Amino acid sequence: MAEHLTFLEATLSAQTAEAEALRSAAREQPPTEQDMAQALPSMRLVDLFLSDLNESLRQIFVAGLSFPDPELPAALAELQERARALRVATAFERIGRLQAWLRAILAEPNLDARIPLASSAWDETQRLLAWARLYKIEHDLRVVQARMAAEAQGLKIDTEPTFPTCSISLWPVGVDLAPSGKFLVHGIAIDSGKPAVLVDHLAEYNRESPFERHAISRMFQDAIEIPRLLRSLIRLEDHPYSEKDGVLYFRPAFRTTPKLLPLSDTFRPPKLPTLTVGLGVQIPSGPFLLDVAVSWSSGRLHMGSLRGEIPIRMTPLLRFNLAKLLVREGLCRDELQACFQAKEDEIELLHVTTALDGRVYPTCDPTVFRIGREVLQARSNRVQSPGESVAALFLQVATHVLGHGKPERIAELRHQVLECKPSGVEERYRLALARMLLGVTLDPNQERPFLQDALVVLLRTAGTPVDLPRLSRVLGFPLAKTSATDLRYIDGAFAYRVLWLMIQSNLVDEFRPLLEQLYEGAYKGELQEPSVGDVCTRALLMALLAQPRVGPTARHGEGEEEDLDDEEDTEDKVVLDRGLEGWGKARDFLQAHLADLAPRKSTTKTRPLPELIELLQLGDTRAFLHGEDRLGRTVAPLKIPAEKLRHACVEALLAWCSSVDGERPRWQEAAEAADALLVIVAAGYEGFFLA
Amino acid sequence: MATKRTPKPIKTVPAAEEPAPEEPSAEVELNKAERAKLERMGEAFHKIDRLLFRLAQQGLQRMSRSSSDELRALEQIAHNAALISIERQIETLATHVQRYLDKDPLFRMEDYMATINKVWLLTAMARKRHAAGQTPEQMMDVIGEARRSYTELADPLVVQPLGAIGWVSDTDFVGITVYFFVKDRPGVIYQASNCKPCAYFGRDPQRLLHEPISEYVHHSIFDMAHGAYEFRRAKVSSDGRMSLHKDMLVVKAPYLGARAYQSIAVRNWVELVERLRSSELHPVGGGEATLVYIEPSLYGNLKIDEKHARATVEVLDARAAVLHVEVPLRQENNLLVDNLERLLGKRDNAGHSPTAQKRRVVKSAGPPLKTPTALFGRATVNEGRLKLFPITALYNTALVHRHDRRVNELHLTLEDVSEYSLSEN
Repeated sequence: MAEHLTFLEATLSAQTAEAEALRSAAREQPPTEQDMAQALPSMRLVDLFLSDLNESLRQIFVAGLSFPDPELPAALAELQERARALRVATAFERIGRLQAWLRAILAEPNLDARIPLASSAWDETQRLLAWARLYKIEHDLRVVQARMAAEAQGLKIDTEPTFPTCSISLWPVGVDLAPSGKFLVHGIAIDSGKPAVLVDHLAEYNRESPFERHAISRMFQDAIEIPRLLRSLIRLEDHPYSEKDGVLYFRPAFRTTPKLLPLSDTFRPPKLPTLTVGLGVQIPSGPFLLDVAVSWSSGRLHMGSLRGEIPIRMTPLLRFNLAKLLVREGLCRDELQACFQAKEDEIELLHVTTALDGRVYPTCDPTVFRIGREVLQARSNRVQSPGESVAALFLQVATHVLGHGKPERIAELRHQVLECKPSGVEERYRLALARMLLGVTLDPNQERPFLQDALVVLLRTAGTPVDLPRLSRVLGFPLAKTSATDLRYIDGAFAYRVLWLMIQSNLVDEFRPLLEQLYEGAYKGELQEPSVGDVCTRALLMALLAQPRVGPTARHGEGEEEDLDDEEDTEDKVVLDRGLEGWGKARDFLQAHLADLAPRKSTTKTRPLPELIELLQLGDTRAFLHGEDRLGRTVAPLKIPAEKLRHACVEALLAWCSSVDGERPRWQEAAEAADALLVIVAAGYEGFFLA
Repeated sequence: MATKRTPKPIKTVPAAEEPAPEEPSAEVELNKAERAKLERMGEAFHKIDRLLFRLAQQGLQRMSRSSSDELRALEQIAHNAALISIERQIETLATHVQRYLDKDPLFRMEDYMATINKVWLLTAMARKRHAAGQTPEQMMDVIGEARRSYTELADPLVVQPLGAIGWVSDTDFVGITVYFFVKDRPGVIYQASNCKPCAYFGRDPQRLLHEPISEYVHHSIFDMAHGAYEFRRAKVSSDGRMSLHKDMLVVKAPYLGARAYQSIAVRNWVELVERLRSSELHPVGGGEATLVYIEPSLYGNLKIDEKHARATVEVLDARAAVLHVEVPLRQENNLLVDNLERLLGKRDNAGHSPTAQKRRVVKSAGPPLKTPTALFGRATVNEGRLKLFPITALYNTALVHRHDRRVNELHLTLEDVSEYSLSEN
């Protein structure tokens, strides 16, 4: 046995030494690519060798190591010689070692003594198998490499792209952004002067004001800022394009992206052609300049060419911006030079350049032509003797408080408001709004008689004669006799104003029995086609009458919390619960009506927008019922379509501005302009209107 | 559709990033359960070695039912010792033995030998780590884990799909797997899957394409397979699987185009072979496909080989080396084969393969209509040839869907190319 082992150890050492010599020889002559190309036939020999080796190892797995095949060592010896010839050193070494262990097993007659030998042979088998598996993978890779080297001798294939590509620098002159996110950048190629369009798609952009914040661009494969893009030169390198009617079109590509280059001070943009002739003119395919006039007459905004009738595509956003321009300039008509481009049978505006704004894009950017707060304040101050008109005073308060006017002027206005003697519910309501803006509370003693009269008028039964002086006092104008026309003023809007004044004067508890009568008589049960005033009145009455004390804070007062803790005071708890329930029902009732104002996807019908003052009333009622800031963003939660609301506001301002110069503004225009300003702030639209 | 097997996780971390296996552990406080686990592990190594050796001594020809039973019992021992990888290999080995005993024609001697070799190697590796004092956590890459665990990532992940593949598993599940490039993590590919039981959803993965990718993420699989997104509070497993859980927030991110494929792109097939070499030469793993992005210079026509039940296309690199795009002819690959035929044309009897043409053509006349700019797929070396299973075809200029959707990727097992046209660019 000992002799066996000594011989075995010597054999194993010899195998290792011989294998190392083979490795050194292989390292000295690594194969070149040329060798690889010619190596395919010899690789076939390696393939056969690996296959035969696998077959030999299979014998061990099938027959087992207790009684190995006696012919296996000879077969392995033959394989070892082949490994030497193929210069596969590891195989040579491992096969030799396995062969030695197998011979030792076969030479050992004692079965128990065979076990340690078999264990070593087993480990060697596994090592050889692991090597063979990895070597086969490596060999397959080499075969592939050799095959490729043999196949590719001296050949070179050039491919042509499916679409032509070009490299240009583009000077952007305008953008067009569709609601779907399709984004067109119109520009001029610097070198050729050809018009070009980048057809892109934007995501995650600010849909209300795309020029603010970043947008994700498919074309640039990055987040971009549109204003920065329009201030840069766009460089396209080897970008696929197509050409149609002399215009180059570039779309997002997979492998190339445009780059934005800053415009240098010495950059001279290509000169745009100016359209100077009138009717029958040939409109260029690319961008051109045109003199246009913007006017406002009979409640309608119009933009037309000074050189003849060329139809101009007017979008709601463009109308909005142009109306703002007229408001800012305080004109009913203004002339501009703008950049246009033909689109189907019309021309569309790309940009406008003014001395004040520079180059702006009124078809896409809702923040252009913003009106200076000082401008509005100055215009509202033009009215002589403001005490004569509560509406004018209300407007002045609105422009100065919302426009952050000078403190001394605001103090002066506060004084005027306190001195002002309103007549009738409308003037009282407007003046109370002005007081609310100035932070001045209403005096209950001053309001009590008027509210008493107003409630009596409201609670009159049908067919009973009306007290004419009282009616005259609450409506604010003298009446000689009772007429159906005058009685029509006693409506939901009237009721709302009375109730609102009552809340502001903190007189709800005092008039509670009368309010209950009003609720029972006019607002309980189903309302037939209710006005905004009716809705707000009912919601407020539902909330106010549901609990003994007014205001949402009463529900959460500390004192009441303590009362709740007291088990004996269960009656208070019941009252409080009823109150909470009443406020909840009032909120639900109002919300159901507000849902009618929000746009619906299911219908294409457009609902008429309530008047601006009605929107303020809805917003205020909602804020009151939810315990929110009543001077905050009260209109924003109403979810009024932004476009409609912005138009209504700018038109109110435009109607007021167009009447400022020349004659004193009328009561209605001034009040509506003030309403518009309040709505702008309450909807969070200052950024679109006010600079 | 690609395969009837349950999809395997891809290798997401390059070999270079794998932890050094034999580093002794730092001083780590182990709890009682972990100490017991390590103790069971030491005992299990012995038992595994002993049984393997006994099988080796007696040889396959002397095996009986009890050998199979012993292997099943050993499976339990490995499981209790948390040697999950070894447990799975022993399970496979037991199946091989059972097949041998049943004279099942599916029994293959090579597989049997390879499985025993894997058990032997895994046991040796695990024992070495165990002896070096490593914790079960540190040995995870060798011993595996019974149930995939996900870790929440602190930073948002910006991902872009590299490809998407539909599959039907042998356990009767139909699903789609989307492979994601992860921005700022070159070489890492994450994958997200949606799978449903065939009993309710049929065996066509196309039907899942417009379903949400998860019940918590409102984006459809189609959206996720064609745009870039930012995943906030993402959870990822150690093998690159993403968990689309309810707390995850998904927002759009800038599309990265070809930049997403840079880390897996190969310029020529020699480079591709080198890539395969680095991923395949692993003592225990290896032999699995590698995900690659290739830009062929010339495409051949589709050739149907009914004898070997496969569809092949020869694609050439700039030096005219050949790679075989190969798809097995199986029912689940019908759409893929149809798409390849529509993209590349079917080779008729009189036609020439590009291998024959290339001797004459030095400059090609440009690719035919809809020929992809690039392909994303799984590359392997098989039968002495370099092969690619195509997953996604990529276009430099967008394809326009009949619903006006523009995409640069066409997922060949999920989308019908006849519904797309080249954009007017």
